[in-house]
Amino acid sequence: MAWLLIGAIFLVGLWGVMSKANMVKKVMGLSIANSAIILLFVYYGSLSGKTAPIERTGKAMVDPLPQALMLTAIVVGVCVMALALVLVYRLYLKFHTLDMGEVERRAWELHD
Amino acid sequence: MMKKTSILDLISRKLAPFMLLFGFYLLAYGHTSPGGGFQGGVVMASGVILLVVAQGVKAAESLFPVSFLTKVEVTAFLAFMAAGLAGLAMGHGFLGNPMGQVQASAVPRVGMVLILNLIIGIEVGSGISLICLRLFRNE
Amino acid sequence: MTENLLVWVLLTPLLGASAALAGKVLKPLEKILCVLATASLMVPAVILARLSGPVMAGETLHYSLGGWPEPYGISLVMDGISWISAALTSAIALAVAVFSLGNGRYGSRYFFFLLMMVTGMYGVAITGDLFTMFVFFEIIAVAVYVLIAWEGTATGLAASLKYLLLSTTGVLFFLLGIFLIYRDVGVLSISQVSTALRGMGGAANTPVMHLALACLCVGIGVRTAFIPFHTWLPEAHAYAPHPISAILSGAMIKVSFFAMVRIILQFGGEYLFGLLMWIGAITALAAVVSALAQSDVKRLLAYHSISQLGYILAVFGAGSSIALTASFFHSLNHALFKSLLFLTAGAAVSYSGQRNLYKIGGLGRKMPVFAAAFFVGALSITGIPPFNGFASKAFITMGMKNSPAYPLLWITGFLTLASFIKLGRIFMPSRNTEEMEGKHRPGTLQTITVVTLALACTATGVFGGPIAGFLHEMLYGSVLGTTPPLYSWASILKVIPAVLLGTAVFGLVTTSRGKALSIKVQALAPQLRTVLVFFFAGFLAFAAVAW
Repeated sequence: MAWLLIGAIFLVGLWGVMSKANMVKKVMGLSIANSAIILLFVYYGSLSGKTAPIERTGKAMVDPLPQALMLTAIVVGVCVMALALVLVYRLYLKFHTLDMGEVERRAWELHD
Repeated sequence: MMKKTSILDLISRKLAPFMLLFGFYLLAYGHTSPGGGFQGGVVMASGVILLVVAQGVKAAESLFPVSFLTKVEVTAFLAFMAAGLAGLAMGHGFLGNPMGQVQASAVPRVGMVLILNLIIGIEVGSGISLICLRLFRNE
Repeated sequence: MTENLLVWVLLTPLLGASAALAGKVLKPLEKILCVLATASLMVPAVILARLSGPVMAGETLHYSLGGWPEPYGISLVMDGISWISAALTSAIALAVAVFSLGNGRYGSRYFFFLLMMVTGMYGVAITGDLFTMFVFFEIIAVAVYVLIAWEGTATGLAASLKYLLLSTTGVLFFLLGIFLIYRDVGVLSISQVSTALRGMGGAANTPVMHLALACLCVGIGVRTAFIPFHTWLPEAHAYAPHPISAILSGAMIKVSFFAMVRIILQFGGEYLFGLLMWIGAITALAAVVSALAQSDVKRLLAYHSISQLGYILAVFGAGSSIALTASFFHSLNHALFKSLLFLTAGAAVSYSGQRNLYKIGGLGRKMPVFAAAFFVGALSITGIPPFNGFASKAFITMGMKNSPAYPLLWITGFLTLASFIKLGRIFMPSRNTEEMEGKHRPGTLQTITVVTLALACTATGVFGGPIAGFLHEMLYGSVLGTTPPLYSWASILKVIPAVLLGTAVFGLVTTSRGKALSIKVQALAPQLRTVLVFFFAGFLAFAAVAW
């Protein structure tokens, strides 16, 4: 059941990137798909134990490796999203539109 | 154009220091409870961002000037490289624990993780606050 | 002791990047710190020269960061593929960094991002762990997004955003592949996964591993830019600053390709060879047809990057050991001559202030050294002896002797010649030469870089046989078998029909009907929305190929 949900979130994110023309919505779609992958790893890691992966607690702990990997992935994701939004903002300042198709068309015609 | 209510003004001013403190708590306890360098840094940055969004860029910049944050960020990056090289100099490889000879349960040995958490937290917090301050400044 | 040298390959560019970053804060020392940063790129080259002995003898060097054992720690590995990958990065990065220093307009932040990109490339080359490969790919990616948009022009920003959207989607598939591997095998280090998979009989036997390999290839494929994932490349390489185009085309796409080679070879992905050969051949032909139709100088060169990468991929798909050596040899040569072409053509664009190649002319007299270097690069890419393109294309012919995709590559050869005659006109005297005033004259350091690259192209061409033998030893630990001599009369005469056909096609393209057709081909470049559909089509092709 959880796998289906995660798959649905991933597909929603990818659909957002593909079919929305607004640049901010594309970036949001990418962020949603990123979250889906992170959830996938963390959920899979949580299947094998009961409590948080810290030493000195009594019960069996969940797999710590996906959690460590996903911390890195979240950091990378935040960095890339911040950069994407800065690019979107500067393109908006130049063209005053948020439509990706129109921005592409006008940018390639400029031949800077 | 909506008027800014006094609730936002008051609450943001009272809440932001606690967010900074909570971020520092996440940093400092990162090796024994959920948290760590990146998480604490981001919560600290969100305290700064709350000030920027609610009070305006000028007020936030009087507390956290951009030039100072830039210097802090660069220094934290160089400090991280220095910490890694300290591990190398002590013979444990890059980012190895320089205090590897101490017993495993003694405090200074765990301290490597704490030091790295602090450096990363300062780096991330100042970095993300810088992004937000610069973006808002251009408006 | 030699194993400890491995971490310094990764560490010195990182320290150079820190030096460049310190220049941002300590303003008076900025110039010196940039020079220091560039100088730090020489250290990995020296280390690699030192390590070439053990690697060629066949041993694989290992190093774990921080002393943590294999599943928990980051481990670095150096075998033949990593050595070639790292050596290629060193050569091109040093050339590009010296060229940027000579330009004088790039401050310490530029050098910080350039050195972070180089650190990322070394990391991808020598990592032993799949997740660390992801992290280093993203380090390269973030540095590249910033560098493409460095000059703040609208085209640079739009190109960077397009690359960002496509590349991040690809990376999501890469992470999906890592998840599938982790789920079944439980570890993520490449050597351990490889042993586990070989125990299971290779990736083709288990459907889940098969899907994982498809995801990984799609993820890296976006970075390597073969069809159908190539659409970000023309704009990104065309609208970036000139040294950045050189290092992107020269080094970055090769480093991702080598990572894919390592994954395919170690995970038992030999069933993908047929698909890769056809994708390579189609990429080569389609890209060169688009290149012939372009009127922008740097876009033409960028389409040629895609097309030459098609050559590299196609010969890799042929599968034999000489084919793999040919593929690596052509990667090395392409890195050298493509960065040379981008640097010289970029200098021409900066000098005349114009990007449209129909409007630039007669620069040969104003910039004679650069014009000569450009012609060395152009002769190399079209495969004229004695330059290096001829040597590696001869090896490619040897590797692909009996395969059905070879005619496509042969057609690509003379179409490449046609488009380079078209490009070469910017350096030759032409009818509509206005007085081009020199906007940015090239400096001494830039001239030295360009001349060194041209000499390297010639040297790798003349000594093509020995260099290919060296690469074969590096990869397989055994000496290359008998190969026909490169410079016999028969092979040189084979070049002549290609030259004649190429000149004929060039004549056709410059007629008015040819120009109208060119404009129609240019307009075929797809928008972002359709590109992502291609993306899924490519993924399905990879996934379905074993059934």
